[in-house]
Amino acid sequence: MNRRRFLISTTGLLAVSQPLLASFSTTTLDPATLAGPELLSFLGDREYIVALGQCYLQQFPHEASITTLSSKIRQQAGSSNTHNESKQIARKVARDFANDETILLNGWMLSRTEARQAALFSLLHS
Amino acid sequence: MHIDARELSDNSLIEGDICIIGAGAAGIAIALDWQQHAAKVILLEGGGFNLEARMQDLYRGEITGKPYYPLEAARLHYFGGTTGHWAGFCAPLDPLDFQKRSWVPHSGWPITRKQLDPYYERAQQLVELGPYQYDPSYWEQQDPDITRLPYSPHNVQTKMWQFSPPTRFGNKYRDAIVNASNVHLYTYANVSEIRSNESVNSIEGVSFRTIEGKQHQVKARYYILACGSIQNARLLLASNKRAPAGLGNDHDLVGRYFMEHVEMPVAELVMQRPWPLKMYLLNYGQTRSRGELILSRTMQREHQLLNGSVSLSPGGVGESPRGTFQEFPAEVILRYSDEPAANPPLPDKSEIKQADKPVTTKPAPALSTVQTFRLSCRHEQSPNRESRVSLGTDKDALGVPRARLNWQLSEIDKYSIRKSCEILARETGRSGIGRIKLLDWLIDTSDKEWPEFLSGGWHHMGTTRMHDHPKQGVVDSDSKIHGIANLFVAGASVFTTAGCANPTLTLIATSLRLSEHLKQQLKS
Repeated sequence: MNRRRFLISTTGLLAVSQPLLASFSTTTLDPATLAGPELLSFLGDREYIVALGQCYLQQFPHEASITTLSSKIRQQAGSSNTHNESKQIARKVARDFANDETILLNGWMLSRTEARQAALFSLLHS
Repeated sequence: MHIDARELSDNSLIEGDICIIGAGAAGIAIALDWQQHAAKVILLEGGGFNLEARMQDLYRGEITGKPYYPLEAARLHYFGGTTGHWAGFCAPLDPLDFQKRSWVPHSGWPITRKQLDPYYERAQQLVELGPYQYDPSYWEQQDPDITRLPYSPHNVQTKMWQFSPPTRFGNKYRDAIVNASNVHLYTYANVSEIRSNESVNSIEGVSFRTIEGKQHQVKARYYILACGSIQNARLLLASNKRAPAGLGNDHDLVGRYFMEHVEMPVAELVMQRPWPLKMYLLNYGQTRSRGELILSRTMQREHQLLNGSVSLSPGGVGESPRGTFQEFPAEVILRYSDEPAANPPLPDKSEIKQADKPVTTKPAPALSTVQTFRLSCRHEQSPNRESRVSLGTDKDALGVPRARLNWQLSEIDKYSIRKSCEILARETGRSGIGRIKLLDWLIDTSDKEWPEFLSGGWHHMGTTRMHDHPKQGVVDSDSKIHGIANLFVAGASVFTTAGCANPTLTLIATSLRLSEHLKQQLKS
């Protein structure tokens, strides 16, 4: 398999989430909302998420800008309050699945919003 | 009563009412059903009571199609048959499996699930299962820790399996058969030919041989072929003195539509949080029942998919996915067949798996912390005329042409697995359970291509398929061969379609149904 590895314990999950959160905090974007590190960190390490994002950008090159992706992720997410926005994005992910707005990225069945989060992460870290 | 055929005088003639050829699950189930009956039942078993290499060698054959498991290791040729190493997975076929499905070529049994239910219930007892209950809600009521994952039942459902100890028919039923006064078991009696009358509409007798060179005859009113899908076809095709294409083969159907269940790793599931999974996880030897994930009938219809289920087991797939054929190497089984004198017990498949597992340095994580699961499919293949058993050019030690297996799959087979997994992956996200990653072989949308680890479940089905029309099936709904008055077939070779359930329970149920039909025949 091409994927790096899975994290199979909550300890591992936290270990990866923290660096991701830290890295996002250096940007002007809200880390907890737009890149959704909590969910993506289930799937693999930082390098793996970057690869996933690149895979998305290859399929949708017209979205390959931080502004475009941020805008699309924020679209319909509603509130500018960070806490609420996080919930709004989670709801948006759920809505994506309900509406079949999903995409297969390197084998992962992700919501379109999640895929864009990976792409955004990739742009920020490659 | 037991007779060792090697002890008979050469050219003996044995007469009876019913002659059953083969003492595996199907043959023994029928013979047991005739205990205490006035009819004289002759049960012919090619092997003895122990596994022997020279007997297994009679099952050796040629593989010409998709890579397949060595035939001499895939079936056991002794009293009890392949129940000597089966794993005990049991489930009935689903009602939809029996129906004509417009998107599945050659689908549609001439009998329904409802007609088979009473026989399933009896089959259940023979393989020492619990109640005939396959509704997940029944099992949820038995144990509060058993709960279904929160999928929408309109899309994804849980199909239940029950686990036989597993019952080894050779051990469990040997005394009952040997002590039945009306059942005459002959061991080392390998049938080499089924002889018809001149017009090929009735069977006059069967010839059987011992490996030492003796030949004997059986005459009976009714004959039941119960040797397994490959050997049933082989014997019909080889009985070609009066029917050049073989018995029951006027329409070139015998041996065709060979089916397997495709059993392979398909995906990995990462859960967002721990879910109670007692319903889905198997602790071999302990678990009485287990659920597997299956698409609803509506989804199968809507997406025109074959039936299939997905099981969960802790841990990921690893860098080199392996199918069932790689998990259980044939050498392990054959090693046992080389030691007849020692009469070793056959290993359970679970034991083989343990012995051959690559050694891991890390202990398995406790279930409560496991977030990653390997998903494996057990999928129906569509009936395929080109997937077939025919006769090879080589002959076995008794002079019978060996079987040649050409296992073939169709595009709908892979498409169904791929599409089903995509839907399951989407539904897993939708229900908030987690995310699924399909393995590379399912990302490949070329449905003609299969990976190197293509594997089946050692489930041989369909070579004498059941259909009411003689141009579409070898046997009719009573399991009688079309056009031949007194020749019947028992076992999974009569399956019209394969469903996704392991075949043993269904083959016993259909055999018991045949048995009841014959009792009615004898009365009239």
